[in-house]
Amino acid sequence: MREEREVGADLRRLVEQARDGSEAAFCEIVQIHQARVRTYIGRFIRDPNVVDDLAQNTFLSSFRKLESWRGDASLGTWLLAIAKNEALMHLREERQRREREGSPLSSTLSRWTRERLAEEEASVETHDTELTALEECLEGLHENSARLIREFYFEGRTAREISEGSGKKEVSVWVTIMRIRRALRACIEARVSSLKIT
Amino acid sequence: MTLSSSESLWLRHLSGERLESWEEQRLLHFLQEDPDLKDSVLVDREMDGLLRTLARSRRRHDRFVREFPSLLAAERDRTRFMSRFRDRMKRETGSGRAARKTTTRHIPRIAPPRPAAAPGPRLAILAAGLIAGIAILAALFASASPSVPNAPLQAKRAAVEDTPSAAAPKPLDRPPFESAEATDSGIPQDRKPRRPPESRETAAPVGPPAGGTGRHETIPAIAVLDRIEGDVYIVTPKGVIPARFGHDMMPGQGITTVGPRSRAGVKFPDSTRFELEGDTIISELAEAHGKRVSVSQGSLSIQAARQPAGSPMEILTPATRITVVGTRFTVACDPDATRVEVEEGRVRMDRPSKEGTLEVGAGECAGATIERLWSARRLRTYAAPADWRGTKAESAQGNPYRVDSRPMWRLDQIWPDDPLKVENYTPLVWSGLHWHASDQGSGGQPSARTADGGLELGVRMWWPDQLGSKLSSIAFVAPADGSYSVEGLVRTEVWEGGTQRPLLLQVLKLDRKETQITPVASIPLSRPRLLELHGLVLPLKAQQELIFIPQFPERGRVACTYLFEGLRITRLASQP
Repeated sequence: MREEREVGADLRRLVEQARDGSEAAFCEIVQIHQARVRTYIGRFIRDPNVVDDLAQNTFLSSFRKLESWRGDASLGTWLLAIAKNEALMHLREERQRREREGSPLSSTLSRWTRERLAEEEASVETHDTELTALEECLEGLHENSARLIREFYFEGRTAREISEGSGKKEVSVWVTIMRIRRALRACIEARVSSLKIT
Repeated sequence: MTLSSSESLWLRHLSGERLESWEEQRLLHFLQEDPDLKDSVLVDREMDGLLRTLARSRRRHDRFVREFPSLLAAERDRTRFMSRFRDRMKRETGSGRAARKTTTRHIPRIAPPRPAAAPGPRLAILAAGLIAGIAILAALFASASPSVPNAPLQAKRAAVEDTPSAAAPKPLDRPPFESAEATDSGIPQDRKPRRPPESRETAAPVGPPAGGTGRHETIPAIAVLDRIEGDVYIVTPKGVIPARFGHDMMPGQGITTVGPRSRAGVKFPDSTRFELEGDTIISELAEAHGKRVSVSQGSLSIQAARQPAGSPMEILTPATRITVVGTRFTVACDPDATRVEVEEGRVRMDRPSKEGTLEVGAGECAGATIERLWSARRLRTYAAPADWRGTKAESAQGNPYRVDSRPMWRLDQIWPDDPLKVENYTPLVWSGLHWHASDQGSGGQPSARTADGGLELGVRMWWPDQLGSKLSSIAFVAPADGSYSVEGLVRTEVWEGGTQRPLLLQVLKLDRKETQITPVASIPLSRPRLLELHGLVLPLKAQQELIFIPQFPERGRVACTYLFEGLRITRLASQP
């Protein structure tokens, strides 16, 4: 608890310094929150370059509006609320663009994703809890599954490369990864519910 | 392991495979019919996105954080510039707010660059670009205050109505567009850009008449924005607004992309479409007797549908006019030069008020400057490697990069740091992550690496406690005798210290047989630069090298990265 208070005090000090014009202080804020903001957006936007663009927009927007943050909500929650708006705007534009391009599947998926995001709570506590749960669930994966996830997501190998290395069919790699994702989702939900109960 | 039809389609879609139209319809049908399936695939998509971003935010954490100070610096620079601008306008007019308004109101009077009739279209486009730039900065300044709700709608209204918007306060007891603005701005009346009386746009006027209100109730849109990435702004008669997807472009409006990674797409009803690369300013779009696009600076890719007879599409740059019937090509320009590459069809180039016309066909490129027009057929293009890794740690294996088993690109350290001596160039070695100096390096410089499809050089100026600058360079080795042109965008990111004057990119020609190095160009990089616009078309003999090397304008404490995007060198069929 004491540690949390100290972190909070540090953040307030950084915000004060950033309000006084310190770019270094604001960059520290970016450093602290970038992974949180990017993963929040990344859940709903698949293109990683767009995710980074929207995260940068979020930080730039918060930099412009820093005076308006009064500390009612935590800085993280405030940033996630801005990120949520950025992502919602992007999804709306994407849906319109896909419609114009005559791609009904993509436009419908953008609409559904937008609806899910609109209902999503932009709370730093909820997001951090889920992220922590995900990391714990990743650590608890069976060795083969852990290797597959590490190679595919963290080392950037393609399903084809993995299939060539393992002698499996490419489609099997895709299916296995999908099933691991489902297992991870179930694991996260279980952990989050157990936290709520305790 | 059985896989349902819907799962199979979903996985193929998620893997990035393009489904056939009927397959997309089928998958959509499955999802719409089965809410559980729909929820399951959406949750799966979110998990996939979460894992991808989690990995990326770990892998690219340093880069994301490192890039951010330059964004902030740009933001500060805009704000400071506007603050100084506002102070000056206050001093000169006694009212900063009125002055801001006056400045933006020049825009509807920008002379459409009519090459045949107007004696100075080059000046008009330059002025339009300058005013667009100032207006953009004004909008950026305004964006620091609470945002205006539904800005695109306001912009549309602003284009058709005469009532000042909330964002643009009403000037002091003066009807809009009165002649007083000429004296307010401090620009002499005879030098102000002005719509010529014979303008084609009488059929679709843009700005409201002097003192009039609400005359133009319906102005049809001529195009629509169908792509936006990064910072994109619309220049309207009332000022500048952030662009939104689907914005209807009215005649007389301009569009600009701010920053090297910003992009925008504009589509006309006849499927003619063009894309703006980063840092591009279109000062005006018009359509009366054919589409007209006035470009002040930057780069465009155009795909033109066949245009009606007698109404060709025209691209106007400060240096030339390009007439299009129906084709696919790219244009890059700045105030001094224009470069065109044609992929399909033909375009005609001429220079207003100067003699000479040039037809440019498929597979050819052409350039226009104040001095001349030229064209040449492209033989082969050599792009800088997008992914360049060594094969053995702490060794130069893999450097130079070979094409057709011939050394084509090389990354060097320059030590001692005199780039005009051939013996000072030594290939960088591979660290396992990037290319670096085998010795005489300091603080990670000099270095080089490929990232995001571009090439980066990490360098630093003479530090107080060290001997000499830490320089790296890119060399292109000519495969055969011929004439070569250089293209690509180069920019810098300073991450420690700085200089008063802009950093430079030096281009040198190196001849190992003659042991000789000749300077070709020195390009200031106060903003991102397109290399092709700096006259970099030059003859090279086989095995002669073209060197790209960072150059510091003065001694001081500065460490920075030079970023090359889309660097490529084209061998031409003849010396243009």
